[in-house]
Amino acid sequence: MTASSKATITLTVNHQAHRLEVEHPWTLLHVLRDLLDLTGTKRGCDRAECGACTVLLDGVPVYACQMLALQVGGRAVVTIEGLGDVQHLDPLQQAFLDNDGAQCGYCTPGFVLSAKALLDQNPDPTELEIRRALSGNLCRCNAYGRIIESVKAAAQLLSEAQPRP
Amino acid sequence: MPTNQPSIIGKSAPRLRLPEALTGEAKFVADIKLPGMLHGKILRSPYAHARIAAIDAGAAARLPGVHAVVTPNDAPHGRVAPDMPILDTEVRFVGDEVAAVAADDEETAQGALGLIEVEYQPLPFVTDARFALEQGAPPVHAGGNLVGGKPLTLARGDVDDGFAQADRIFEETFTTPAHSPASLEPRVAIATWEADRLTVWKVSRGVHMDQRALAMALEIPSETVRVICPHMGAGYGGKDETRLAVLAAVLAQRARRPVKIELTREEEIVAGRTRHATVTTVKVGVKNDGAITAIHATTIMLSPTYSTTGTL
Ligand code: FES
Ligand code: FES
Repeated sequence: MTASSKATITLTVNHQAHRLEVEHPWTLLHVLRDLLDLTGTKRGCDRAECGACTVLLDGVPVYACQMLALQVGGRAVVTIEGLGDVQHLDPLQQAFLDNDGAQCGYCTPGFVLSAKALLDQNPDPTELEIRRALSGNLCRCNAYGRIIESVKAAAQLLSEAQPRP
Repeated sequence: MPTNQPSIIGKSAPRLRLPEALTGEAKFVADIKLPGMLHGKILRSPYAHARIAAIDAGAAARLPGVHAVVTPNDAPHGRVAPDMPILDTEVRFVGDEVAAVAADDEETAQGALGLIEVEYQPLPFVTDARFALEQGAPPVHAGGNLVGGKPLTLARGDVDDGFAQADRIFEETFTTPAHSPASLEPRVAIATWEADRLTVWKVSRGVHMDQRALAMALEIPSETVRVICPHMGAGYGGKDETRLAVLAAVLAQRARRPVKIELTREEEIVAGRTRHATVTTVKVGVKNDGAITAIHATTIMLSPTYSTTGTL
């Protein structure tokens, strides 16, 4: 194989800065999963159809399989590992647990991050706003009803935790 | 009020493994990395039916970074299922496995596939189950296209008599297409050997069924085979097959290193297992008051090319 061209980028992932040597064709998904071992970001299709690879790029949900590593140099990424862990679930994750917001769990990190982006912008969304915010994520197990309930419950939990002025 | 009320009725069971799925800590098969692990890729048939007259994987094997190759010429002779060799010199659908390669990374393995030279002799094929049952239809496997050699018949009561008593008889034919279960997680298998003991991580709804198929294919005692399915991104039936794991095991044995093979979404759609397409003709006899007197139904199910886990 011909050697691909390489470049060095800086990337902040879950508030930690990384300096990475990347090859031009590498996607953000590849960098996260294979270089940084952040395997919570899933690959379902590698072609912008499923949302399993959703991460937050400067707070905005993106498909990591559709971003080249070169495009994200200097920017900040949040992956599912940047939220809570099993000992300390984030309120959003807690709401998914309490409301059974997953079946197999493969789509789940992507849904949680899409929901996080929504709630960070809009703490009190309508059901339609929730549905729209999650419309880039597929759940083949069809847990949609429970997922939407989970996001509603999370909005409730968050508003109780931080009453708005 | 009885005091020995079972304590589980009416209570929700906690989802023990959901927290780790919610935090990304859950390890699915694709998330597992073993030291020295190689990556496998599979060469697939571009023909619906063909005989492989010649296959030369020499250039692929010599490509730097390639550690193992398997082709129908050198595959072990065991069978994954009664109708499925590990690799065959006859391919039976577009996407059928032709050869496999393990290399340092997926790109190298993919590049090596392009160096495998295959001479195919295309054969006649049939894709519709109705035509497959006609006289002279090209056989998918030796012995004809009806799995098991005869129709499966279920009968109860006197059907002819029921129709004789009917005031009216309706007959319709319905079809359903084949479809991919399309679980969000594509199929993936990892194989590693320690002396003569094999460990496989794979997506699976039946690790013991996979253990038996691996042992049968590799002609080793099943107690030397361990199959682990950690978290699975659902299956819906599409993951009930073992050839992928067998190919990973053969490559791992040859390379003396662990091998992971992850399928792409395209491979899942083209070469994944599907729900049977069906053609069902139903004839129903009824009385004028709507009472049913007889039902006669015939269903032709287009089974997958290989029966793998059974005839249905
Ligand atoms: S893996 Fe990126 S959208 Fe499916
Ligand atoms: S829970 Fe299985 S794909 Fe969503």
